[in-house]
Amino acid sequence: MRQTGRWLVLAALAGFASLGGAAPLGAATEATEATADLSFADFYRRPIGPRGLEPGAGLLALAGSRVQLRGFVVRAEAASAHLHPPPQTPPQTPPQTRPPSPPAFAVLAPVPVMLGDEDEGLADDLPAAVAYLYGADPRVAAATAACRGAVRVGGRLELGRRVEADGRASYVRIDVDDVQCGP
Amino acid sequence: MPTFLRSCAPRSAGLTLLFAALAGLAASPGIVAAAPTVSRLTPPSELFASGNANPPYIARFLPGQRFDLQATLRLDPGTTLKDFAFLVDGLPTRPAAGTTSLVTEGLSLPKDVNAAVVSQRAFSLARPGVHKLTVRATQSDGQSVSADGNFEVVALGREGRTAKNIIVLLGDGMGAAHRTAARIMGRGYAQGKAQGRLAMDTFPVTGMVMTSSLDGIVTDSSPGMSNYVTGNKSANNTQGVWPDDTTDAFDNPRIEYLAEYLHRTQGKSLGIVTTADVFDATPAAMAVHTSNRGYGSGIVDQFLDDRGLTGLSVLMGGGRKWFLPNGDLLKTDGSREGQSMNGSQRDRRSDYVLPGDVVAGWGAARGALDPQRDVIGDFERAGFAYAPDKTALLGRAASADKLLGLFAYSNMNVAFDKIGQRRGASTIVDDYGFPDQPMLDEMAGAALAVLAKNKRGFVAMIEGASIDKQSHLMDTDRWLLEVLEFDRAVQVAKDFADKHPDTIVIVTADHECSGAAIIGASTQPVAALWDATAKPGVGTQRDKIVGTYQASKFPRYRMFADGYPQTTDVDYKLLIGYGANADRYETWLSNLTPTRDLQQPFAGNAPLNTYPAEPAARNKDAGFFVTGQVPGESAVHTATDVPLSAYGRGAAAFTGLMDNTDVFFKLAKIAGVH
Repeated sequence: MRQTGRWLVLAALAGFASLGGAAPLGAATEATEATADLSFADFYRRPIGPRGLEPGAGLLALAGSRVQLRGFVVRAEAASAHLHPPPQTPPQTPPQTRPPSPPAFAVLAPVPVMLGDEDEGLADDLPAAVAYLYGADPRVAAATAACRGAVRVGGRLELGRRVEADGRASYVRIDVDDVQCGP
Repeated sequence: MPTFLRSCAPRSAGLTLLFAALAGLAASPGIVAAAPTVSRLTPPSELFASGNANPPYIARFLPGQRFDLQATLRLDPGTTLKDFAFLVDGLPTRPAAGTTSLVTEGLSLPKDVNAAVVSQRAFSLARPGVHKLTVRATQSDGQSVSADGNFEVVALGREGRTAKNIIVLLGDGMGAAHRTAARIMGRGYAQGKAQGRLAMDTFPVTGMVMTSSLDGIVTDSSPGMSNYVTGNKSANNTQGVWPDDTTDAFDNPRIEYLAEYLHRTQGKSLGIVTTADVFDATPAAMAVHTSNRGYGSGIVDQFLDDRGLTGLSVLMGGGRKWFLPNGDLLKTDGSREGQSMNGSQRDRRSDYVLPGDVVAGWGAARGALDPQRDVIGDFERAGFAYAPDKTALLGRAASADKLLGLFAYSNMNVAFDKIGQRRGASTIVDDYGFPDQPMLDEMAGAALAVLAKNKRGFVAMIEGASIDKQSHLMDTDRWLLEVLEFDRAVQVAKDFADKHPDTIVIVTADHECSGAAIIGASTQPVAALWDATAKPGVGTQRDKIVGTYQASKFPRYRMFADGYPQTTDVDYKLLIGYGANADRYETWLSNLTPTRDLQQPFAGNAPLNTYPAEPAARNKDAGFFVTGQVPGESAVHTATDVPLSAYGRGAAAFTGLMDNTDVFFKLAKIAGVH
């Protein structure tokens, strides 16, 4: 809810601080496989259940498929970095049911989000419907970080819980191979 | 959380020897001038801060009220702390085993500072009067230091007839202007006279409250609430604690809450009801001790874990996301990921684990970094009935002995939109994903029905949270209905007090929000306000519309049987200005949708993603621009005194000008503390 402060793209935390141009990526993949449109509106059922959110049928149906999703890269005030001291013990990552993926380089949200500073203690700025982005090609991280507004990413949809480097658990991830700035 | 070097039982045994040594040390000249220094002594005092030993005393306590003693010692480079002790009125405090600590790691001080934070937990003193607190310490080269502060144990005197039940109705951010505006809308004025009174207006005694926090004239909601129920000043963004020099948000020196004190000494229950997320500052500042109001996982855990200290029996509001397990719980068939994607916001960073001295001193639960915890399930296993919506709330309240109500993912929808839905005129509540939310008066009634089952009485806090939140957003019509909704809960509490005369009810605010001011009324019918949006500007929307003084006349709203106006967009409507405003565009018309709330799970989806992102984006092409006097995107709190009205047993105590901490002592005295 604030405009002030230095912006720190979460992507930079993963070591992709160098912002290169938005090079076209993934053309080969697009040529060989259909891409489904995924919307954040597909993530959860409405109304919300008494025990919490439940994944929507549209999301579940696309698990493992190549999708494209439009959103905004979550950013954080640089001053927020000191807010959370490291945990006393390393995060307890549950057993993985699939081969480990590279760490996420960014989080995609349906609206522009800047994670808050200590003022007012907004520890819960991150919307429920977000997608964690990862990819083996480091150029996708740089290309994503270079987008200053809306961004459209393409890649394979992965569902299931994983503890991310920022300590949060992700449930929706995209193995990104294509990035386009703009709506 | 950092790893702290803390004392344990053997160290406390050593302290016993230390006290004997310090008895001789005290007589040595030159101690104060030694190289080590004391940079912080808690409880805070002007004696320590400025050398002023005179009242007003910053820290005051009930007889026997528990609080922590703490000091930060700055040591010479290369030395360590050899020993320390706290003395009160020159006498050793004799800490119980395990209740002291010495912390040298995880400090929030610059890394080149050699310092130690020393604590003694859950100290109390029954003898009224002003007392001198001394900390003495010796560093490893033998140099010593001491410093003095003071605090007061307040002599209350005996109350005639005491109150068994305490109800605090907290209109968050509700200043005098908010009350007045709601009266104008809800009751109407004619020829200068109000045609009726709000429920809070009918309380026989009204005073004014000074709301400042420990570290500023303008408070936020954390100390704004906790100061009422600890009797002491906390710093902004902290609740039930004083500041310290460690990074751990849950190890700060504590002050015993009113509910904790009355549960321990009288067996009273605690009820917390809010329209906000229950981890929000005001509800948490009734029962949770933390220096970071944002640590939702630890806050909701502590609500449950320390119910044996607080007597928590009712917890109601929004905030379901903090109660959902964030992690792979094993399903009965052995598979994983059964709990994935439930929207849990629990994580280890915002969770809590208490140091051993706090656990030993206060008898508090140790806590755990357990994002996978099913907190709703744990509440149910602790005997709480769970109500996820209004239907369940109204159905289960009568039979429940304890009640957990979580009606939204984050903050609940506001009255403007809830009433719109109930009238069939709005789908906003449905779009948020929680179509069956109760109104605050319905929540209050259910809460009091449960709490009244405790024959020893209760402490209840019922909060109209979005008076503040909508004032921050300068959404006039929405906060006006929030005040009306809150006032209906006030009526519920008043009715309860009529049936249970051993009840004291106070209605007040933690602070004023937005510098709201009733500047007058529109000189135009509402159609002209709509027409003006086609040509936005001060000429069309300010100069031709804003009626001041007698031009304001008396705005008239048609009230429906549900207690709310048919519409807030009436001809010649009430106009509100803001003295603590951020940039905004003003049309004087109600906003069809609320301002975007990123905490809502569907905030990014249609239609919620069409809502204005902030006041400076709202009505951008339809209203005239009002330059904010404060930076940022929303209006801010102010230091203006707020009214407090009282009803029932002991209400006469709440007249005149009082500090927010004074309210604590008045309530305690009315409850029979002496």
